Amino acid sequence: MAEKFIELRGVHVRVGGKTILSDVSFYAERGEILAVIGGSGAGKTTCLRVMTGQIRPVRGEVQVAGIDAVRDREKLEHVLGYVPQLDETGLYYEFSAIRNACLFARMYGIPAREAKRRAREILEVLGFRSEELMKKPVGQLSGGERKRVSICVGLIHEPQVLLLDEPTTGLDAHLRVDVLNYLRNINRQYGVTMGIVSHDLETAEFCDRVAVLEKGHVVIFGNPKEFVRSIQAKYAFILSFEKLTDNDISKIKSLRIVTKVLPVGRRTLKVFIRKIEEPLNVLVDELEKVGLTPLSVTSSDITFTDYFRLTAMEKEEEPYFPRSH
Amino acid sequence: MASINRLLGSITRIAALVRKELEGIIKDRMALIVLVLLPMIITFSLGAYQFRVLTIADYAKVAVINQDTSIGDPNYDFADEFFWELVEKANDSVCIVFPLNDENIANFLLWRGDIDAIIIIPFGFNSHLASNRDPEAPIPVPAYINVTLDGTDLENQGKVIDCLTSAIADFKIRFNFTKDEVIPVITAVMGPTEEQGIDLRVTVPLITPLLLIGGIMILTSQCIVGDVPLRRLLLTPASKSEAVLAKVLAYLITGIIQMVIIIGILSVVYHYQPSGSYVNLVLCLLCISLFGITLGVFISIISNSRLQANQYFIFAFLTLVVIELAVPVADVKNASPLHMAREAIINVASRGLPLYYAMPPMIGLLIYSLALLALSLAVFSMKRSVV
Ligand SMILES: Nc1ncnc2c1ncn2[C@@H]1O[C@H](COP(=O)(O)OP(=O)(O)O)[C@@H](O)[C@H]1O
Ligand SMILES: [Mg+2]
Repeated sequence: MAEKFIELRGVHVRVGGKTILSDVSFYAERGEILAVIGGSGAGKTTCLRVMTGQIRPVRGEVQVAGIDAVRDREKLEHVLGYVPQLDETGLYYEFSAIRNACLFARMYGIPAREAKRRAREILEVLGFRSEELMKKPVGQLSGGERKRVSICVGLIHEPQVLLLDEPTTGLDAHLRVDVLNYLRNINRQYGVTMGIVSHDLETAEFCDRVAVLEKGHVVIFGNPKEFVRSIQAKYAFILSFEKLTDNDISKIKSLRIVTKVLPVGRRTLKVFIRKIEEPLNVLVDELEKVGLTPLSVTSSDITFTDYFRLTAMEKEEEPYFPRSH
Repeated sequence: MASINRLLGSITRIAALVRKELEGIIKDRMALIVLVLLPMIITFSLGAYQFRVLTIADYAKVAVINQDTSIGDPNYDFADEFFWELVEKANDSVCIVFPLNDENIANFLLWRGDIDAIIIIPFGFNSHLASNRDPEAPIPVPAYINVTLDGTDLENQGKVIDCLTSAIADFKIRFNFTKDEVIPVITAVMGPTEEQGIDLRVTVPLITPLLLIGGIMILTSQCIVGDVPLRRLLLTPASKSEAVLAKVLAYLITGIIQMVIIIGILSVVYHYQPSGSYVNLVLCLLCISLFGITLGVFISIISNSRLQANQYFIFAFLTLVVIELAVPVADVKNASPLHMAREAIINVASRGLPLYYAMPPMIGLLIYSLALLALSLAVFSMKRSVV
């Protein structure tokens, strides 16, 4: 079994008499990307601060790159890179990307020339094509560019673990995907183990392991691919109808080929189909048999988001969680 | 070996942080205003307005030298009577009057600032006054007294003049002199020269520390609370004490630039020249600057927001100024940093005394600075900061 490179075990955090994390456990193996996902106030940033040793848990163990983050905080400095949630808390806006990176590099005793070389190299992997962009004051860059500069600063001392707090928040959809892809590249190129915090379920798609936090508790933890596998479907289609009743949904659910049904709009459903031949034709045939004709049928991917929505929906249907209407 | 490496690492980091700080200051518009515009505005406005400093606690010390051996009225020794008249008026004018024999010693004491004025009753005072007793004499023969004032100290000059004029008035009434029989000849030494026009030797010791401390405090009171990315830097091997030390060093360099600008403006616009050496003046100003820096850094560390730091700065600066200008208690005043600063500059730049004489206030300022620095580091290390 591979080495656990980021690990929280039974972590409790209290601040000012308020429990922020309770019994939080998750891990990532060496070279993996871990996503910690949760809504605002769920305790994601607190998780990261525990990993960087900025906050001491009242109970539990934290280990990062083989170092005890509770007891050996100082040793973490060299193996850990951190990219804070807000760029203004992590970058000097009046300095250029290169200058920011060099400043942080000097703190580790990296010679200026070497620091510049590394900064250029990392920025290139992060998609900085022109020298001009690297020398512009960070305050004049776009949000996506700035985020990548912050990532570069976090990587300048070649850490074994990079922790990122909501690296995609506040970016346009296409930039979010860009940043995540760049992180994948970095992960491959440098073998850095990563912990990414996000409120965006899509992030899990890019990761090897995902932990979902709710009000300081871990509600889901595992490999996103395995969760997707647990839907037991091979195909997914998005169906839209002219009108859709609860009864219609029940009919679709009871179809033999359908494993799960997820409402995605008022008259739109995402249906998950087990492995069969010619799924599209079979689906339309089966629907017609129960008297339903979709306006449109679109093929779609099966994602971790689907798994999450399905479990959330199923939980709500449990009798001892009465709905409040 | 390991500890040497650690020290070298620390020096590398501090050097990098100092450089970062200076680059930041250069790019900061506020810094430019404080460093260049503020001294210009204030020193230019000096020309239109002369500072009067109100102090009540300090007695002006007046040495009286009686050199008169001439014979006048057989019943009275006028010189003696005038001395006692001065003694009588002294308390009301906040002066202390005492007799002295040696003019050289008196001059030395005046130069050192131990006394504030010398009054010499010259030979002929008795005989001149006595000749006015003759009712036939048409023109009074004036009896002169020579007064030498310490030109660096406006307030004490006022007290001495006040004492002198009331003594002359009562003296004349007592002995029935009705014309200008007693004439004081007043010279102020070490004070403003005609070429300088305004009282630079008085105002420079007040204005310079105000500018130096106030200006640098505006900047340093923001330097930690406003340095948000510093918290990320503290996740690297850089420590809080390295960060604070780097800030103090960077602002000390800034303070030197500030001094050069202030002295530059004074000498170009007003042809100001310190009476002593520039080196002594700069050493003084460095202590003063250090005090302003450490006070600002302390404020920056205890503040939780930029706004709060601004409020603390205004509060601290006003307190300093009020203690210096309006508190009449001598013990409080003598412990006031602004007062120490003024003392130090008066001694080395206005009087041109050797540096030795500015040592007590300079050491006082250094003690304040070190205490503030220690306090800052203690508070900062206890403060939890997270990114
Ligand atoms: N220093 C603090 N003092 C009190 N409460 C805090 C502090 N830091 C965080 N919290 C609370 O802890 C919870 C989790 O915060 P955080 O970890 O920042 O959440 P997230 O990053 O998931 O949005 C929030 O309810 C927040 O209000
Ligand atoms: Mg957060």
